Amino acid sequence: MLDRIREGDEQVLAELYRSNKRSIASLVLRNGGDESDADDVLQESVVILWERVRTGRFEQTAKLSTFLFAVAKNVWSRKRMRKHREPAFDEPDTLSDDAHSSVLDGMIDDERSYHISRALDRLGDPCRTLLVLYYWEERSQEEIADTMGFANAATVKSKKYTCKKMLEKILQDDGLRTGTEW
Amino acid sequence: MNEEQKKWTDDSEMMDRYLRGELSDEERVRLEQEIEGDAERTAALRTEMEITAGIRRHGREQMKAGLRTALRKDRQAQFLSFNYIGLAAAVVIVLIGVGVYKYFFNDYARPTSFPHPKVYVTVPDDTSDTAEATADTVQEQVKEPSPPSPAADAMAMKKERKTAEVAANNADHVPSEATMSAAPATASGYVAKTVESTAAMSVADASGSVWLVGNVVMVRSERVDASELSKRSASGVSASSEEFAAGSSAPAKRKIALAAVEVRRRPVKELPAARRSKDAGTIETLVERKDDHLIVTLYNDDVRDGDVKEAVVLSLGEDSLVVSLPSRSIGYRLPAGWVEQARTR
Repeated sequence: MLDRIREGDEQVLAELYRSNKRSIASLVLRNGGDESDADDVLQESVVILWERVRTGRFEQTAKLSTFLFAVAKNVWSRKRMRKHREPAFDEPDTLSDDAHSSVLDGMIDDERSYHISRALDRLGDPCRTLLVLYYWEERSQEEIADTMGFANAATVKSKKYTCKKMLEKILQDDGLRTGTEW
Repeated sequence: MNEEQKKWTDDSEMMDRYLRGELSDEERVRLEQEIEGDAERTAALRTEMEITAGIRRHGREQMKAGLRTALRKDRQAQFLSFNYIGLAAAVVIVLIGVGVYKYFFNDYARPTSFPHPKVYVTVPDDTSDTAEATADTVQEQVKEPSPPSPAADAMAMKKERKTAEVAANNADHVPSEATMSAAPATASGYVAKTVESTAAMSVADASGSVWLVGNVVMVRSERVDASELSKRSASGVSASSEEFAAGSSAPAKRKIALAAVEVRRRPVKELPAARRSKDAGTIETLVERKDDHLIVTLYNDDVRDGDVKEAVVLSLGEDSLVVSLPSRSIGYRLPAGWVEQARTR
């Protein structure tokens, strides 16, 4: 299955979803979530696995189902904190100020990334596709040139720079300050 | 900080490589040292990190959307396949039901659970030539009883006659001498006897038509005595001497004129060969049951059309009737309920 992910077979996603649905849904439902939360956590967990494998950052030390369960637990923990302003699973409510700050930072970061994602939609293609291939799928510039039909890697580099600037412009126009504290 | 270090942090490509972990250890340490303590460069790095995180989030959302679409298509395909399977199963069940109905219920005119009486054939010796000449015609007329339904009644209205096998008319059924001798004789010379109905008569009843052998119990110009009547008793048709006596003084209540009976006649040559009787004192008769009346067709060459027009049909009870013609009276034993039908009008 890992080989299929590396080859870009997206049908693996649905298979991973179906085979891990029961265990992850049970985790979410037992910890304050509903069916919709469970569905979203499972999808995100599967995609995170896909991302890790595709970017070479996945090291299999256990079964895929075990890894997915751990990922799902973290994903739901973050969502739960943002959703309910509650600590993660069964942990005592003894968060220090630092911990609260990190939770807040996490919420802010999440909000920012949401806006950046929406700005990408407005950016449109080919910039959107190029940036996703480079920053999410971590493709090389040569690979991107082949995929998108650019002349060479240098063209991709130049195009990437231009697209990022355009994205930053959109974010600035939206009033989203980046790189600074609230 | 020298110009070369500033170039690194100002170079977005270096920043990208740093964030993708593509710098060597030496390059990474150098860039981090450049950033450390420099608020502007730290902010620039943070911006790059946020944008990268946002782009990755966008990529994940796109992939999740694709996954949801694939799952939805799978569910739709499963739903359709279940529907097709369910539809196929429903068709199979309907076909089985139709088959069961047609085999067990729709065709019970041909019952298999009780005896199928044989057709008794009495071919008169003097009519053999006639029988051969009309063999084809007879063959068409000999058919199995039709099922009891309005459609079957409509079919009976056609020219082709349905042949019902009636064991009561079986020539083999001959009353015992003891029975005959025990029966009281009357002034008219007739004797009474009864006949038990058989399962075959039930079959005929179901078909809507029945072949009977009518016994001529009285001829206007003569009376039939008991011995002669016994010779004509092959059909087992009951005949009450009292009722058939000419000018009988029997109570009117025992003789009920039936208006809902139509009497017809046909020549003997139109009879199916299997119905040809040797006994000159009997008349092969087809009794057909319609919605609210009976049709009694006499197959006899002595009965004239004029006689039929003047026919009076009387009932002697629940299952007996007499067709009284100007020249003769003929008695019949009908299946249960048929006489009642003749009274419906």
